[in-house]
Amino acid sequence: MRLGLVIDLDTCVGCHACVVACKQWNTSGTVGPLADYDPYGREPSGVMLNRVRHYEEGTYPNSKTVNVPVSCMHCDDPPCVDVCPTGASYKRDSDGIVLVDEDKCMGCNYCAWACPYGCRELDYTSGTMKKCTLCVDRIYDDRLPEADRQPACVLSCPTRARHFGDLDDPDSEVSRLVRERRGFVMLPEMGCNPVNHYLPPRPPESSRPGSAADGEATAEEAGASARPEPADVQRWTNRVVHR
Amino acid sequence: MHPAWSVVFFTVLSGAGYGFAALFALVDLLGLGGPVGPRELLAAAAIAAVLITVGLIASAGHLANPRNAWRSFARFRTSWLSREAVLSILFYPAALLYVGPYYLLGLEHNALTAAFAVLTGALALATVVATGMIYACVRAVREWHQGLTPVNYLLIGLGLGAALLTAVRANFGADPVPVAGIGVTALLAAAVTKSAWYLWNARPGSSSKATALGLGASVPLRLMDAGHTAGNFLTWEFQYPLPPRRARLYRGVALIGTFGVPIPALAAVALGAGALWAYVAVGSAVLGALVERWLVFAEARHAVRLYYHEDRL
Repeated sequence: MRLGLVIDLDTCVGCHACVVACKQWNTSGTVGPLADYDPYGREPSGVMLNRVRHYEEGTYPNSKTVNVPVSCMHCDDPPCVDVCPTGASYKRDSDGIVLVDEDKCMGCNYCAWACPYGCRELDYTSGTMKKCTLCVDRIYDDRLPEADRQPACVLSCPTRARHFGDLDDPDSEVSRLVRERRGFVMLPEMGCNPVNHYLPPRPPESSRPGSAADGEATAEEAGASARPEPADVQRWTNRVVHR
Repeated sequence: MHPAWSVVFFTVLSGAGYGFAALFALVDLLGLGGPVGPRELLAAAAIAAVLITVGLIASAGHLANPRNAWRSFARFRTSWLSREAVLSILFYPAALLYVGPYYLLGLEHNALTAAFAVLTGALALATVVATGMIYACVRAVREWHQGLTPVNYLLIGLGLGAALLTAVRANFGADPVPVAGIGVTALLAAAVTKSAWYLWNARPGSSSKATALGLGASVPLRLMDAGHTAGNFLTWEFQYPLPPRRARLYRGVALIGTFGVPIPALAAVALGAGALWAYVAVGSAVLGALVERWLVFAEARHAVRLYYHEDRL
């Protein structure tokens, strides 16, 4: 099993809900607290396990905004684990999640140097390294309803741009998305073989060849994921409002 | 990368100490420049021990949680930092088993003391190489990730050690010429490899914003908003602001201090000038190497910068 995230750069609106949800869950979870520095002051900062940055692709007026969330890729060949001198960093055989055992961490920063994605952050208050746990204290919790056994960032995403699942299983939704939407990994030349994949932004409607055919394909996709058609929602809303 | 002074002092002082120890073992075994006297042996052992130990203690200064430092010996099978820790500690008993019996036996080598002298030198060199490999194996920092990084660490460590040993030999009345010759050779070689290191780093790399974000390689990509108003660990640790003009100035200081002054000074000693030039070489080389090592961090560009304002590494 290789658990990971598939993040859709086409639908991400850059709202930072996943960042906030991540901070909230993990600061009170097993890796918490995640330190805040100067939280109500001039320069509020702190440890984040997930960050969203906003980029402009192209030059105005032929440009668009792409919002890019980045959190631990749970790499197949994690350099952060190889370089850790104390054995605090490890990758689980069972599901591929990369974790830090804070009782062993000496805060040398070496793993943060080794990670090309900047997905490890030193907590200056505890003196230990913090990183995304893929909400390991949540996804296996039997006391939660099954639908809630997903990482906090995935559950909070209002545009459902984040998908969680097993990328080893070719029939899982995440594997299917990667296959059908040409999912890619970041910085492949670093040789880390990240598990997390990204789905590229779709080209704008006007630049697509034969936009009618593509429109059908989009409708099919929406039907396949069992989401209500916008028209259905509108009809239902009108009925409720008129009653 | 943020240059932590603790790591700068660690790599320079320990590197010089291990280089000094390795060269001392060589000089002693081969009797280069005359036999070693008892006072010289004790002075050399004290200098090496102080440099290495102060360096290792300094290295603990950048640990955020030094209580767990003892655990750093655990993962020597994969981590160069752990290998460095193991080798640096193994050096102590080897050096003690070399110097102790050798001193008690009246500075007469037998097979065992000679074997421990060789082991001491080998462990000293291996430790410096391991220190260099700590940086060379980090693929995310392009400037470090090359074969010449450990070579520079080793040659500069040997050069500093040779300058120190020249001063020690001259001070105790031995002939400093052979050691000064070794020092000139090591520093000249280091000047060549360090220059090659800079030349290699000046070439454009293969990572860019396009490979970092997986977006179009043919269209410009620009960071509009980093998502945070203040700094954070990623900006503090990986983005040291060093304007190009200041970088050039420091680079000049580092090259002149580490190579420009010590090489002629040691050459003068090798040609028969006074011991004063050996002290000049030591002072200049240590200060130059501190600036050089500081620059190794300050000029290193981590791949995380691609997610901020850096376009290409």
